[in-house]
Amino acid sequence: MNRKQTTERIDLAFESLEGIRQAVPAPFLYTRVRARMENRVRPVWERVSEVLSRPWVATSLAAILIVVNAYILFNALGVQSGEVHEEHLIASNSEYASHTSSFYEPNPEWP
Amino acid sequence: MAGHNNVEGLDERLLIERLRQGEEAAFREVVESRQGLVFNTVLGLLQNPEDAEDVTQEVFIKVFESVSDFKGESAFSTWLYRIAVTSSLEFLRRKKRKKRFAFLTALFGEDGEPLHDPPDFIHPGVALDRRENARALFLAVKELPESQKTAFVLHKMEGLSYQDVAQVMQTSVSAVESLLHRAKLNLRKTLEKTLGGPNDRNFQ
Repeated sequence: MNRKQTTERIDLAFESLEGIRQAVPAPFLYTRVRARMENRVRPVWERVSEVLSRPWVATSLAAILIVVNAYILFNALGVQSGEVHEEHLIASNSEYASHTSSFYEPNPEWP
Repeated sequence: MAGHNNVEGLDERLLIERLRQGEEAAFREVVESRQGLVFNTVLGLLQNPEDAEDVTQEVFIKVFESVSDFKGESAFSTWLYRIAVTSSLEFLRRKKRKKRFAFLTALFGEDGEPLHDPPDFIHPGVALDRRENARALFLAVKELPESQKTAFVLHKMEGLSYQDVAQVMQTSVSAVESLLHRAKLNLRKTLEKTLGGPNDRNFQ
């Protein structure tokens, strides 16, 4: 086939869509859509993500997350300051030698 | 939107409002009056009548479930076209992924659904004397990138104007012009190979 013939056939291919009629789906589409809707088992993750993506659910979850984080953070800070206090007690205890020796210690230091 | 008639005497806003309230009759009206629009768009993109039927049903289910998201900023038909295009492209991507992992599904014997399309698709709306040429064109359309294919199907098969295609694809008119220009160039290249080569069935 020469170039001219090819070009002609390409043009004919482009023209083939002119005046194209609408294709019609098989009858009773609505009935089939309804049946599909009723029989549809939606995946768990689709349902979970649908619930999670609701604005009030997402906002509430974000708020809960912030509160829990803040609670953990403040608690950790509280524990840390308690540890500091304990260290201070140990230091002053050793400074004033107020520790008690055990009865089983070889050379007990009695005050 | 040009190219498709609204149902006579039907107030679209009222229909959408009724659909939002979950009214069955409104949903039936939407399906029956817009099934051609959806089916044709999907069929043009998928080139497989069984898949097109399947995706058309999915489109209407999506419409029913997400009608509350329709803000009325565009025409209802524009919104429908958008859902039809998105669903079809998603279906094609899923199918491509399935084909890629076909060897695994073959190994594990998962569903026996055919992963390969019948080689020749002829749109039922094409005139009888033009079918052979249309077959070659549809084969070439299949090879186009997604955006070019969408623009081509909406403009050439659905008869939408550049403006309407731009609204459906949420882009500018100049971008649509450019997409269609590139689509035609690509189609011409593919057709040159198929029609000009020794593999052309008509000349064997």
